[in-house]
Amino acid sequence: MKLTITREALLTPLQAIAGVVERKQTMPVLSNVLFVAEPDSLTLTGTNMEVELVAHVNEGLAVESPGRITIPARKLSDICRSLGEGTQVELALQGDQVHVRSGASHFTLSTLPAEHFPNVEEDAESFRLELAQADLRNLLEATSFAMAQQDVRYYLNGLMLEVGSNYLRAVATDGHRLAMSTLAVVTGSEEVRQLILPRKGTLELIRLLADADTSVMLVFGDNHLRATLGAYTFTSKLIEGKFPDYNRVIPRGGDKTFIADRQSLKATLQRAGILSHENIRGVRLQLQTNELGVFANNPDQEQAEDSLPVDYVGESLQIGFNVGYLIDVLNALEGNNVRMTLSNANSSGLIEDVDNGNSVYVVMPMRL
Amino acid sequence: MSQRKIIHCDCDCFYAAVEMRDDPSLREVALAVGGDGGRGVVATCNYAARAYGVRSAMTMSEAHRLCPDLVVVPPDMARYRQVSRQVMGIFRDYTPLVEPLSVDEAFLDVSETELFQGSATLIARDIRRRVREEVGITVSAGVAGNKFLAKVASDWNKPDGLFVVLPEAADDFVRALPIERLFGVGKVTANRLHELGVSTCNDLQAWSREQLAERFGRLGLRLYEMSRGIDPRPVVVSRPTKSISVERTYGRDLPTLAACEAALDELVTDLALRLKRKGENKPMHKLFVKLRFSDFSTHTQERIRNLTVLPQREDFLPLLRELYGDARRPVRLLGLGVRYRVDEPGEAVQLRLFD
Amino acid sequence: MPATENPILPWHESSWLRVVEWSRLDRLPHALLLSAVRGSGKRDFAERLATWLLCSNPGDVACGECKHCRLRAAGAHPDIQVCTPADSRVIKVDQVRALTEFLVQSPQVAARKIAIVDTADQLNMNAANALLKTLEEPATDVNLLLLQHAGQRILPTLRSRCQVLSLPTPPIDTARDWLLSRLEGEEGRDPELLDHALALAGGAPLAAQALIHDGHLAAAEQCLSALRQYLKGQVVLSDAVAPFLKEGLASTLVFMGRWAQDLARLGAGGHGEDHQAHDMLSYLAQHNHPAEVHHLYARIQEARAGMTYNLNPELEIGQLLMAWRKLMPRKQARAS
Repeated sequence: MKLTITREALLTPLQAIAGVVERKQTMPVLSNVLFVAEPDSLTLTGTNMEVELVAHVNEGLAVESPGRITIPARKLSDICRSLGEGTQVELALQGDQVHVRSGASHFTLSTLPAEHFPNVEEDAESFRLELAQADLRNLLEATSFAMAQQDVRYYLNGLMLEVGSNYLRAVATDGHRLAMSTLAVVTGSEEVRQLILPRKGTLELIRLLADADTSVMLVFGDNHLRATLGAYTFTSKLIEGKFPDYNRVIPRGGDKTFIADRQSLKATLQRAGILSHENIRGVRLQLQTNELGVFANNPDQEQAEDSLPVDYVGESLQIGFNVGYLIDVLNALEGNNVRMTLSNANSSGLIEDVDNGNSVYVVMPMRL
Repeated sequence: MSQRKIIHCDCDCFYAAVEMRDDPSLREVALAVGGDGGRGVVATCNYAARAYGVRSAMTMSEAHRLCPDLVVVPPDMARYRQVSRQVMGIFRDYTPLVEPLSVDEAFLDVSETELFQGSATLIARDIRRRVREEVGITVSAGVAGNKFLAKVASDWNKPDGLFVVLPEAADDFVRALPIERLFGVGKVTANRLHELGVSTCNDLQAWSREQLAERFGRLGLRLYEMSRGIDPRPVVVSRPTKSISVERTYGRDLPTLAACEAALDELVTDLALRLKRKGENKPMHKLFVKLRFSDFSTHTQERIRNLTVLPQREDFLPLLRELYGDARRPVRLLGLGVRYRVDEPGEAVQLRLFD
Repeated sequence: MPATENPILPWHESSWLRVVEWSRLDRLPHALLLSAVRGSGKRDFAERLATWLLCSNPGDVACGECKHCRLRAAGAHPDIQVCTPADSRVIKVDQVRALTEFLVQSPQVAARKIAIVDTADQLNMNAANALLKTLEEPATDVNLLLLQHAGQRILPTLRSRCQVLSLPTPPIDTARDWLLSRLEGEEGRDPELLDHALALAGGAPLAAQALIHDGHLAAAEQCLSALRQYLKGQVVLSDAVAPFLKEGLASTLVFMGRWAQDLARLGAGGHGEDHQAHDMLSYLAQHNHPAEVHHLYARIQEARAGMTYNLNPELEIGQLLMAWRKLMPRKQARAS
């Protein structure tokens, strides 16, 4: 393999890939990036055993002789970054070493054979869907915070994506709270499909997605979710298992609904939360006509009392919550006003934006 | 009251010790834990930093001036609390009477502890060993007949030291103490005492209770007592007792269920003794039996029995039989106990979505 | 890896064919417990089976050519994980949790995922229970290969969820031939040495090879001599413990287990395997009731089980030596 490429054409994809490659790898080849040079294109692949990222390069590139090899990802990325802007970089494989030349600089890096690299091959594809990157990004950002982390119910340690004929939905839950966001989109899918994207894959995908209208192609496979966006192809393993029936836990029939200014409610909760028990983070909400009181105390007998005006007419209710769960929801929402629907101290609360019903959040109370 | 045995345990530069334990590169440097930046304050520093004159509660800028190479790490309270729980857990292995004063120090009343033939010195030594081996930090300990002397003693050989004030040596020990060592004596009180010509407890002993009370109020009464090595304050356990149990590891395994049943009597008697000694008059909530088979597998069986009288052999027998089942295996350890209902205030329960 | 370069261990051939046959009939259990004597090559069997299960074109052996075989040869196949005691003698629950996370995700490049637990008798209680959960809800694309040192206890509930395949130990001639072929061109081909190593290793060829390579043979002799002297009252306990302690508790238990087995055989009128220990063991066999010998053996087994509970090696070795000492006739013991 021998090729010449401009520094920028190489550096951008290399840095994206180096971001996927983990520093601590059990197998040496996983610290490497796979180079596949064809006569007029180059693909770079990095993986961390859960997520694979492929970058396609075909500009600023001249391939003298095609070939395949793996090169230490971080070292190459660091070298490339240190070179002058706009310089040409030559990569030439000689024996089992790759020579990197640029101007007067010359580096020799060790390599590992391409067939030692566990890159994912296309697997059976069941469905594909094209949408704007910003839409997918919003969907994931609105929900991913509620994913569980290292829960023994392994199917909760990820984000569930569901496709119906006219929607794409993301749902995440850790068993205490649940986030659901739905995007109206004609998908052409005749059945309802679900897959669970692992936590790590979800977070990596969010990082890649631009907040723009440029499109992303999602491909649902048997063992992988693939996302093609611009020059990148992202592939993640899936969690095998059944996601719980989320519809069952979305409360209906709550009769105590109040509307509050999102920022004020958040600020009030944050203030009271300072004196809640550090681990349990419980706060007591006291809902009464046009007022929401927030109370917290901790084992050191310190107390916080706060309140804010809300739109509410009805029976009084006292209910406890983990203040962190409420603040997470208020951070994920974007509008000015939120609506919270409660029924009693032992039943979940439902939180939504007043003007935008795409995302709904369910939070279970805490008995304090 | 017979002679009490109190141990005061104090972790050496606790936060810094935890940081050094987890990051060996910090062991070689002068280290302070605290907020960096202009108005940050030193929460703890290691002994290398103390050699430069760095002290707790000093501003970080002052600390940097004294020790330009000072390495500062921000505090990680969650981690310290976790280590603290581990350390306190070790203390509770020796006595249920543990009174934590903060995350890194506690009083232990080991008057009733039978381990090491009841030797508080050996207990303190073993506690120090276990904390070092199991937690990876060092504890200084003071052993004495009351809290005040134990606390002074733990400071005596700090860091990583043990100091024992034997009852017969207590008087001499106290007399030689500079008054700055006494509880509640800060700079102001110290100066006032110095003006009276008092610099040691020996000097202080020349003053009557009334004279001291007149000049120092309530503190004066405490000064009078402390200067004589008197401190009747008990070790107060804030945490309610959750369970009381007895167990025995048999030198020769109990070969059968019948042998276990035969061994039960002795344990029931032991348990009754312990319950009486603890003076726990609360109603019991549960009874339990614990078995360890010769292959080290350990099993417990418990049942709700809201008893108000001492549990008898007949109360434990069904649990033992159920637990042993048809195991036909030799038993190495047998234990019995009672659990109390613990209604801890602030016991919060997060409800779940799926159940 | 081509079969010619790395042939299957000769004594595993029939077991291998059985597994291949199960697979052809689609009756390969999703959890297989491979039980064999320590050092007789069960890990080799498991690794080979893993490669074969991942291979795209498996015949009676893996093809050695496909992507999966190449990744396996490079040690870079992402769909297999091996769980072995990390920095202690036991497999901890965190390791099993990581394994579970791997098993509940879809495979990366292959059609299935493979987990090897080496060995299941080293799982501590929490780890074993965590693994139990995985065994109870088997995913269809998972093969679990649990290894077990023959004679070591594993959680019965764990065992009952696996199909057990006992791998044989080779006859002495096969073992000797294999060992000779492996030591080609090296020192230590002295037949007497080979036999001694095999005897010490309980006939397990890989263990014998390790004994020869790692200089354990000389160490074993020192241990034997220390035991002999201690029994005769020529050295104090702490001196007798020293050479054992140097080898570690695990090796000590192997050595002692072997001698205790020989002792039992000699007591029952049979022959021992460790010739160097023969005189000492015969003497003990003559002066003890088989029940006493059995008690000693049980004591050694118990120590093995206890290893997962972090016994103090020095204390444990001392107690074991004292248990041996009890077998000495009174007169001798008092004379010391």
